[in-house]
Amino acid sequence: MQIRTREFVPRATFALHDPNLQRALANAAGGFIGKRAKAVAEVPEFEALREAARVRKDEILAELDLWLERYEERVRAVGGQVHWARDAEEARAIIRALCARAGAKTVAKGKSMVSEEIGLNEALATDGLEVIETDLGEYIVQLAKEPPSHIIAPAVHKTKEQVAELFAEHHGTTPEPTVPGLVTEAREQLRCQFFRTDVGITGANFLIAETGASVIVTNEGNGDLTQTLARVHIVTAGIEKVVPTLEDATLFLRLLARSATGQDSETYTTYSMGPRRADDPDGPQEYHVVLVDNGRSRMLGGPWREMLRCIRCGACMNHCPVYGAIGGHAYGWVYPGPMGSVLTPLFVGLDTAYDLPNACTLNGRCGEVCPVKIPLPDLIREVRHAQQRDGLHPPAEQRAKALWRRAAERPALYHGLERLAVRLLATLGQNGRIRRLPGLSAWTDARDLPAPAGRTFLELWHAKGRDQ
Amino acid sequence: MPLPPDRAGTVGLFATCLMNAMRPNIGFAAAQLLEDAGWRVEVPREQTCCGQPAYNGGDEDAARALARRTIAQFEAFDALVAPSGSCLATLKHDYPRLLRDDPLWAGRAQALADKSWELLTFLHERGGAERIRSRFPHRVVYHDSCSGLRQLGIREAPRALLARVEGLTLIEAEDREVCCGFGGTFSVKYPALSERLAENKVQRLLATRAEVVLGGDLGCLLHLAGRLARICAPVRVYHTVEVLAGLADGPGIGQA
Amino acid sequence: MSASAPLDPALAARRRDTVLGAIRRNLGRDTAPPAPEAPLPPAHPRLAVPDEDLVQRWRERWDARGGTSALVPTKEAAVEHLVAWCREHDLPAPSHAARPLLELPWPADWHLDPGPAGIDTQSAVSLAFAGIAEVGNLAFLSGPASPVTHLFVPDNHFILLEAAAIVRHFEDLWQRLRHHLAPAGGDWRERLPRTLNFVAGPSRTGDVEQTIQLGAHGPRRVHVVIFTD
Repeated sequence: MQIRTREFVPRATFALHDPNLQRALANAAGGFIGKRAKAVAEVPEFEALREAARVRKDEILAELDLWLERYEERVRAVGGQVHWARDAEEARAIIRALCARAGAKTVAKGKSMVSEEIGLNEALATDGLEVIETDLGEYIVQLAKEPPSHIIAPAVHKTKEQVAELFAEHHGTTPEPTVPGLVTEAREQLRCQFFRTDVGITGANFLIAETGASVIVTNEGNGDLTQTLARVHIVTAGIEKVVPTLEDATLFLRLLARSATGQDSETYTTYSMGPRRADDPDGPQEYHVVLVDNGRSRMLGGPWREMLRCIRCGACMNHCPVYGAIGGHAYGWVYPGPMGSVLTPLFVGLDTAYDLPNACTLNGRCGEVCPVKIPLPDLIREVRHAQQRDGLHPPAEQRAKALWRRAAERPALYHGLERLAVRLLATLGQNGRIRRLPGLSAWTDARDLPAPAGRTFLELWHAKGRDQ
Repeated sequence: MPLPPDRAGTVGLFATCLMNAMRPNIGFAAAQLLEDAGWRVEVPREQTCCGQPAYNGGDEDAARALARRTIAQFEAFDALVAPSGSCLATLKHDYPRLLRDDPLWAGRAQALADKSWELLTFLHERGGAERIRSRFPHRVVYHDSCSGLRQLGIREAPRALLARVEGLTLIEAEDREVCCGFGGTFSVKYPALSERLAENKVQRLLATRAEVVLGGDLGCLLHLAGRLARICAPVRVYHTVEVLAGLADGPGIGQA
Repeated sequence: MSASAPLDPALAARRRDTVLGAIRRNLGRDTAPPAPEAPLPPAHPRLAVPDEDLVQRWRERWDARGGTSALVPTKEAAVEHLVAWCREHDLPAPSHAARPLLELPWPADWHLDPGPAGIDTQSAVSLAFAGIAEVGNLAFLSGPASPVTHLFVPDNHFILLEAAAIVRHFEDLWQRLRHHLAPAGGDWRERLPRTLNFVAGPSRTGDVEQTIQLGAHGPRRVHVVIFTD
């Protein structure tokens, strides 16, 4: 997927003024937040589950190699194959080779953020394969030649009228722009695709070491049709997805649906273990898992390890006021919102994704709703620190920060400057406010600056001889 | 009135940068409330900034230097109190984290964190609320600032204290836990985003038809008052402590 | 790079070693940690399911998500109920069924195929392995007698569920599964089916304007008949 994180500011600015996007975002936000709140309120154990999930995931990550080896052993035992990919290019190469070996012409895909991360669709298309996204939201953005704008609701930025236009253009039909009409239209179009697909590619919400299972969670059933009707089932998963036991998967699943969509359970949860057995009437003949590192092992070592707890529920972006104002595309890569503001710079570069962690008010609502208690605001701040160490903040800002620090460490100077500034600002004030302030137009373009009275608190207080 | 022994002590009033420069009235209101509650109040001359702008802006080193200064300035007091949830969150959460690997300072950072208080929480939990004698016959809406709300759990204290103000009617806005879009340097680094979030928040506040907006952090209040003034909204903005101390009789923030 | 290169065993082994090596290096170790002795399943927090009557609880949860259910005394009564249900709702007779159900007294004009569902399959009958009261969903094990396609291809899906097969929590199901796969001991993991499917109601999507619509790709209607005997 093309990296457009450098265009964050212009894309965000346009997003703020795109009426269709704004309408779609307004529709979505209330729904996600309200449904989650209701689902959480129904479960008094929710906080205990979050804490247990945090602790358990940290334990697993500390022994990640062990659980991955166990997992691989069990996949082999049930007749599947595990392929390890160090980076995106290797992951693509492995999957392309598997498709080529299978003589595949068509590939159906269930929703997988890792496949977006490794740019799989473009690579398969280069090989002349017909690739069809089967999750309705993914299908819509595929037709629109756009990336997903949300990790669980890829087409959340589209209105039903826009979807109807896309279907009309690509299917040559004239579907009614109603939700039932559009869903039926997509169902009919995709049904044929499922039955003619050679390779089915899905992601994995979890990998279970004790059974060699890959777990997917869907509401539509597309992932199941994808993997059941294809000859070859390929799973793409980040190495952090492994959990030791079925009981562990249950712990995380109790949190996932409630956090993501506010459901107590998604409609379908499927544990896949190897290819079809000798006397099975259906199911794929081959089963492959591509374990993708792509920078994850490096994250284990630094301050970013906690980010690997992420179970990709999307709650952080649903509760982020910035995401709510601009949607996912402005973030310019696969992972938007708060989790993306930490992950994207680590994947594509602290420089390339400079704006993402900075365009955040650190209001903390993301961390508050995270089902695995990732301290997202702390990690976002940590990315800013890493950017500071690399000298990536704008030169003017760095100079200003250095000067400010020098003053703040010298009380006489600091207070002198404050007194000066306050007097100056007071003279600029009219009716208690300053309407335009050259040099601070970023503030005064949208708001007045309340004018100070002309004396600082410290000088007034000490002038009264209150202490010392 | 005699004071209970656990309240006889000296409080160091932390004069936040914004309050010090932009709204001294808040500092005097804070001091008055603390004195009414039986504390001796001192304002150390050598204090400057808590370091939050540096910490949030990526400069941990500067934040550490300012943290050490603040600790040295205030550790002798029985308590540090400030009329700001945001600065206090830095003192209570970030100082121990910033200095955890510094054997000389880790303990001192934690010790100061343990006795640092946001003013309203301090009055609510340590006593003094019952001494509030204030009248403010207006419909007000209270804006929860995010740092205080999420890092310090400031939710009940301001509401409980405002309930003691004679004539005051508190109205709750929708989406009251949503950020106003100030975010410190965010407000000037990403002005278009900040403006949109401010506008969203202002719409919610205005929908309550309140005459007055109150809050506990001057950053958010300058941002909201500035936006309200720009759109010519006939609404006044004060810091909560100004109302509690009976010092909200002058112009609101951004008014004359 | 040739197409077969990624499947080259030497290259694959090198990649594996690099990834595992990088994990260990970043965790500050040279080797894998000591393997824990066959650990007991961890005891994580559960959701309180105080209900005495698990069937009732299960049905409330199931019906709340757009599924339908009925409670009948016997398997034979379940058959009668399904025949009446299809007639009453003007639904086509099922064309496919799980093999163990074929012996039930279906009407003579119902021709039930135990094979996989095809693109034209409108309706199928399945037998659930278990129900989980905690969320009100169903578990299915794939196998020669229970095609996975029956769960996802038809428009109408009918499911028979034995009341005694409803467990309280997922943890209870895992225990049951382990015992079911290896009743006489031995390694249950050797007998795992290709898939373990959980179904919680009709297929649904919220991908167009976050408005829930049933029947996205899988069944639009899912009707469960619980038999007690």
